[in-house]
Amino acid sequence: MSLKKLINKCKLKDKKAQSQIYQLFSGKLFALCLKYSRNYQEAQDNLQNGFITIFDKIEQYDFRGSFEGWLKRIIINTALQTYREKNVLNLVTEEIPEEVEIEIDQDEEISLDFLLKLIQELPNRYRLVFNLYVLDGYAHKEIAGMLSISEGTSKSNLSRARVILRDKIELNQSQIKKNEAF
Amino acid sequence: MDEKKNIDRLFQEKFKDYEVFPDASAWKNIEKQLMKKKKRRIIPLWLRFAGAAAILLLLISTGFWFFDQRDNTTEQPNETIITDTDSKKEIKEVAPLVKEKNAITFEDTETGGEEEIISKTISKNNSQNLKNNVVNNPTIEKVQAKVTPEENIALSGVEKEKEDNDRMPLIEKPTKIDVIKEVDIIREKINTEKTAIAQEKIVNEPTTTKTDIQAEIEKTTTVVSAEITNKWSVGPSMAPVYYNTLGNGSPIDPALANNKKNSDGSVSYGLKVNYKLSDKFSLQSGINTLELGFTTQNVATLVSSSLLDGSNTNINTNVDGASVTALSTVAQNSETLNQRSSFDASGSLDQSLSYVEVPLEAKYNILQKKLGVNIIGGFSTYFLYQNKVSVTSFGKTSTLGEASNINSLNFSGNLGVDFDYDISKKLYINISPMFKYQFNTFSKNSGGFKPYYLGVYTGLNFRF
Repeated sequence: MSLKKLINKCKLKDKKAQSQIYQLFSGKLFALCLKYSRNYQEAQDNLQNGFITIFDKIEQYDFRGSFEGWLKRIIINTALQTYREKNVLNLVTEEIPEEVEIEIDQDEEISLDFLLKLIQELPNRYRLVFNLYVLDGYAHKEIAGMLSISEGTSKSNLSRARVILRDKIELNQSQIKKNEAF
Repeated sequence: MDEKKNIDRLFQEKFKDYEVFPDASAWKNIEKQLMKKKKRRIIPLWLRFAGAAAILLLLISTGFWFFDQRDNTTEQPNETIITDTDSKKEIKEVAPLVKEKNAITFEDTETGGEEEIISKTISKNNSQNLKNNVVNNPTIEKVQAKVTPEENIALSGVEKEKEDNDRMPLIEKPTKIDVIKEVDIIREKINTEKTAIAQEKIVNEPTTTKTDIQAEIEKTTTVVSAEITNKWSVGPSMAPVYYNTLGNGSPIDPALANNKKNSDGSVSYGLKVNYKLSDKFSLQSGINTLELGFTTQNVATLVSSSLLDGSNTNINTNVDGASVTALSTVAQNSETLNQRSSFDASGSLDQSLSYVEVPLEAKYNILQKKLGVNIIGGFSTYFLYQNKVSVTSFGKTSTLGEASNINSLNFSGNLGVDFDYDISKKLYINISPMFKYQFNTFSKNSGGFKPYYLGVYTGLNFRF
């Protein structure tokens, strides 16, 4: 069955179609949730709420633009909503260091799980901006709108996020090196 | 070998095509929510159905009421009433009003003057009730049958008098348009109140908690889902009603204070809506039509063109420029009276008030087994839409007019017990005997009359 047919069935609240859409996309969407949430449980919650919204709004989907993109946007918005209420997104604008470079060793592969952990450990406001900009390709202007912050705040949040991540990675790298030395 | 890598690129590359499959419980929870949403969609159907039917009935009755009003204005002398055998008929029957004008004169030897009494004879059926009943269409027999035995004796007297009359079964559905509007406004108010209550409601423990952490998280989410399913129920209700007073006295005329009064039993119909706040508590409201009437025995009335001895009677007659005085025939020597051949010593005066009632009550559950037992307390608002006073004399009943001291808006305090029984998951019946004490029924001169009524409310309720 084509994706289009599946989507149309979902519009009619067909349970089987809904289940299949879930099977097809939950992998990618849950990964997305993990990046935006602080832990596994929160991510699952986010996924559940996200899918409810997806099945609710699917009748509005008019096949313009990629379906996966549409799904991702809903998941992201669901994630943002959790934090919107907590109102922890504002930050005073500070200097904005631009490109942050880190050193990594070619041989030392940094594990994905480690990086995920670092992202989850970021303070909410940094994590959201980092994900939106770096991993999901939103512009600062868009991010500002989505998080109800200024563009400047968005930029500085991103810089600070990068700094924190770099510092943690470098710390980890040096610890590995130290262990190896012995 | 160091390779400088942009941090952004590092993350982007790592998370490209990142996929993680969630736990199976995730889909289960989603499914559950979807089911709940589906159920919610069915509600509006029922509500809309019930609401639409109720409004439709109200509109139809307004139509009939206007129809009545038009007929009321055509007065032709010496028309005979079309007789009809009434007895047990369905309330749905409607028949137009017909009038008869009789001119009776008598000589009052004491005062030496002659007074002309003009009376109109209008047929009256004792079951003047608006029927908002949507689902059930029971055939209601004579209302008196529903009244308790002790009252039967008293009422059968009234009944006999009425039966003796040549009359036409008449269904009056006199709802004024502005009453409907008020009702709608109140209804809306109740609805918004209810949604406000629903939104304020604390989210309860989810029914499918697997881990404590999950429960905690679900508590902090913004999803407000009703954890108690099927909070709403709605359904028709009807109640036989018995009207009485706590105090002695008469609101019609102080002279009638000690006369015997009997309740005109009637049936109140309506729609009931119930919203469950918690396991024990629920809130209910609805809308009913209510006719409260009572008959004062041993009354004779004089309709005259001039005030007779400064009448204290709280009746406005239908006749322009005339006033009514009610006299108690109890103290009179009936022989003397009968000699006058003008007073019927056993005549009676009937007062009937019709209201649209909007109750607001809280229901507290005490026992919940197969049969649930609850206590109900609350209050009701009443909108008066008909106020009638009629007199029965020598076997004929005629409408005098209306009482002049009735408030068009008044309230009652309600208290009662409710028994409910589940027929199925979505359907339950209830029987609730209720005591409702009316405040400020009368705007003045209630004469110590403190009305209350007892009703046994039975209803069928649909959960959603």
